[in-house]
Amino acid sequence: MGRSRLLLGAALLGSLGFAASAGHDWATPAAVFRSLAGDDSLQSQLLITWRYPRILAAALVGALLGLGGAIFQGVFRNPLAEPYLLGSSGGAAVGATIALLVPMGLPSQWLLAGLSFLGAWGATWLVLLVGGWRRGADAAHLLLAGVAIAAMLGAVRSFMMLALSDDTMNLQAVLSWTLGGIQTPGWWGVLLLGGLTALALAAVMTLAHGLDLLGLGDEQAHAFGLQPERFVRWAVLVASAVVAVAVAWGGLVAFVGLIAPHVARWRCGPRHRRLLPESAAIGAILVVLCDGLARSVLPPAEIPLGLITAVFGGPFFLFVLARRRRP
Amino acid sequence: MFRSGFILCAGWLAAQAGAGLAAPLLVEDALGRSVRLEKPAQRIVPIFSSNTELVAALGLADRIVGVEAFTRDPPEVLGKPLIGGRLGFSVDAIVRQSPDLVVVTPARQAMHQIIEPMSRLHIPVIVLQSRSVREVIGNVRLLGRATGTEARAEALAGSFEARLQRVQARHSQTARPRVVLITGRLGNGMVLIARSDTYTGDALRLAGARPALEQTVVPQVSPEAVIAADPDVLLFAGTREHFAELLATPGWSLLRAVRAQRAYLVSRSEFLIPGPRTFDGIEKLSRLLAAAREH
Amino acid sequence: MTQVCVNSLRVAVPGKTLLDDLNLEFSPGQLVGLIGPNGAGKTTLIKTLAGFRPAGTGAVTWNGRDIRQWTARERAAVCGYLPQHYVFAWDYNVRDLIELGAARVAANEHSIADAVRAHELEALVERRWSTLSGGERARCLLASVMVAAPALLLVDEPGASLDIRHRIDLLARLRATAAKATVIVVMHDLELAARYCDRLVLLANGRIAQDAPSAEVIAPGALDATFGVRFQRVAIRPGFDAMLGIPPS
Repeated sequence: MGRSRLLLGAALLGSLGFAASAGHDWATPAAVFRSLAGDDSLQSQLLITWRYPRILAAALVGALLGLGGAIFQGVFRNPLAEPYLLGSSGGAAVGATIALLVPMGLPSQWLLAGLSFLGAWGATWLVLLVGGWRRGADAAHLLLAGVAIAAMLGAVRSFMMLALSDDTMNLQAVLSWTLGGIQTPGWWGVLLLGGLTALALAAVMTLAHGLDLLGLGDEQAHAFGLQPERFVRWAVLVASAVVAVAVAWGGLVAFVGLIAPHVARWRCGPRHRRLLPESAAIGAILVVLCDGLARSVLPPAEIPLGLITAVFGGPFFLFVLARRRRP
Repeated sequence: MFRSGFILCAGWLAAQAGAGLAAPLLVEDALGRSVRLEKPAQRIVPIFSSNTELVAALGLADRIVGVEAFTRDPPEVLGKPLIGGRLGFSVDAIVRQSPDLVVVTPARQAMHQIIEPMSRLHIPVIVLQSRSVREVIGNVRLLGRATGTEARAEALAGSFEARLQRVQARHSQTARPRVVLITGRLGNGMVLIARSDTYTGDALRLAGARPALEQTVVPQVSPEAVIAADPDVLLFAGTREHFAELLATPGWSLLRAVRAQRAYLVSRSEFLIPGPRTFDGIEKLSRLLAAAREH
Repeated sequence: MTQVCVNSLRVAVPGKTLLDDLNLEFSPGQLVGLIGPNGAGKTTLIKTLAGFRPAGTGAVTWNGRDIRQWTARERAAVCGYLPQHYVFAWDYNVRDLIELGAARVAANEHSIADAVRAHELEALVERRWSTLSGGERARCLLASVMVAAPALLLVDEPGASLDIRHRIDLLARLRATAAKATVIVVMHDLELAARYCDRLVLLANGRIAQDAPSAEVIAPGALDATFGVRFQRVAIRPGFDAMLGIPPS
């Protein structure tokens, strides 16, 4: 078990190393070392100001998606649940559209992150209110409310894009955001994201026992001391906040929140005390690798991160299907 | 009576001959389409600012009967009936103006929304392309033929060519600085740059610049690639606020162009509208690059 | 926990009264069976006793305190509930389940090991739920419920999906538990109910038809009337475990 953890840690470091080299301009390991040693050239400085914050942000975003996805799967008791089930993607897109198209006096990078966070988390609040707040949250009601809210938010976003875009900020500029991608933050941004991720991890670990109990069924969970409906409401809020932070820094990245907990459960079993951190680590590895690919496959452009993860998502499910078919 | 009949016949023949002088025009547009105009166009609907500005530059602003909402220059066309804008183009609005020529560029679905309906209604459509600055000058001559103002068009085209020659002469002996022109930013952090195979890239070359980034497959480019290319001069077509915001994002302060104050704002109308103002832009940029070389 | 009291309990849903004015008392030391025809209210009663269903009017009290005033955690610490059907979302292993049960009282490794031993699960500790047989699953679930040493044990149809040997085994364990705790079981099998329970509560249409020691309830009377069936009463001779009814030829 300890060896398995070590392997995961090594994989994470390896993927960070790969991503540090990857890009439109592949940096050799020697160049990477030089930059870390304090070299003054443009390439080294560019690595330090642009690429390293980027890959760290990628790792943190991936970790958050892994955590959020694991909680959603635990709450809905379904290994196919994913973090955008309750309307967060629709809400985030509305927030981002407002940030990109409505002129406000504030710096655009923080505005984009802030509004997409509020949109993502706000949508979940809306879903909880519509899906039943006082009686506590029943998973089936939440899902239905989520579908309805997501559809309405999609319509709002499309309308806003048509009504607010002009010849300088056109539809393409806004649509590009929805395909997902990490915008390189400054080092302050990375620090903030790191702090939020640590907070998220701590908050999420308190949910671990409750998620284990939920897996026993509502009645048995109740018999073992959980109040399922209140717990579901709280867990959904925490998970959505975690996912909203990921969306604020990384846009709409599909499949990571679905695959990471799935793989983690194969490796370490269903107990959430181990599952949650493993899911975070696997999510981090996935996003770091995909972001590295996104930056290096079609230089000097970048392929949107969401596209890369979607390309891997499909075959992953075929693989899951094949595994289930085997007796 | 025989005499009046003869005068009538002669008059009728003369009228026919007169009409024959204004015989149908056959113009070949940028797509190789052969466009037939019964007479020089008098009621023109130019779609997109570039075509509107070209028509107005020929002194034909009074013949323009409809423009689209994004066109703001020249001032004579403000207040003309609108035939489209953000949400596309209205065939009804165009037809209501009874045009005898529609000028369009293949951008923003204008072509698909207009050519077929107009051909069914027998309204001639000329498609113009601006893949290079030379083609823009050619468009001036094309419009001159379509509107019966060949002399004026030739003079205008000639003046553009003369200005280009003067600019070339100024910088023919000097080294060309490596330049990147950023034309926009996408929501996901990518930047849009002027590509060498467009009239904007051509204009940069004519102004004495050399592209710092090689040919790109897609117009959106990672900021890292632009920074790594480290151009001598950085140009931004947009507002000062947006430029400042861009330069505040990670990495841009490393550019030698930024550190040496060789990052300049250029006008969007001069570099992103393939019309008469493009030549103003080329001249201004050439002077700017010359001054930058002094540093 | 000494006393479980049911006072004038009434549970109703729109259109139907499930339980009507029940009064009962349970104390430790006896295995109480709830019997009755389908729809009599047995499962409703046991779920209300466990705190899953809210009481309509009237109250269920544990040790004199209305269970509505207990938090779910407090209830879980003193009460164990074994359901009739259980489907888990994830493939827990035996150890996981016992640990989850033990968390109700923050039990230590020692208690967990004891529970594993007491229910003969040593060989199965690392095995996953999907690989266990019905009997093994029943033992495992019982262990996870019992590891917290609950003072009140509520069981809905013990061994409903088990073969006769495992069912008898499970009832024997419940009987042993009843020596110190209050154990209430819902049973369909009247023969086993008669043999293992000290006291039987016969329910019919949401009301108590009879509440007495088993021997009395089994005797001819309310039982036949409630079930609408004529029973032939035969004693099981020592040396035999179960009864097989032979239809007349």
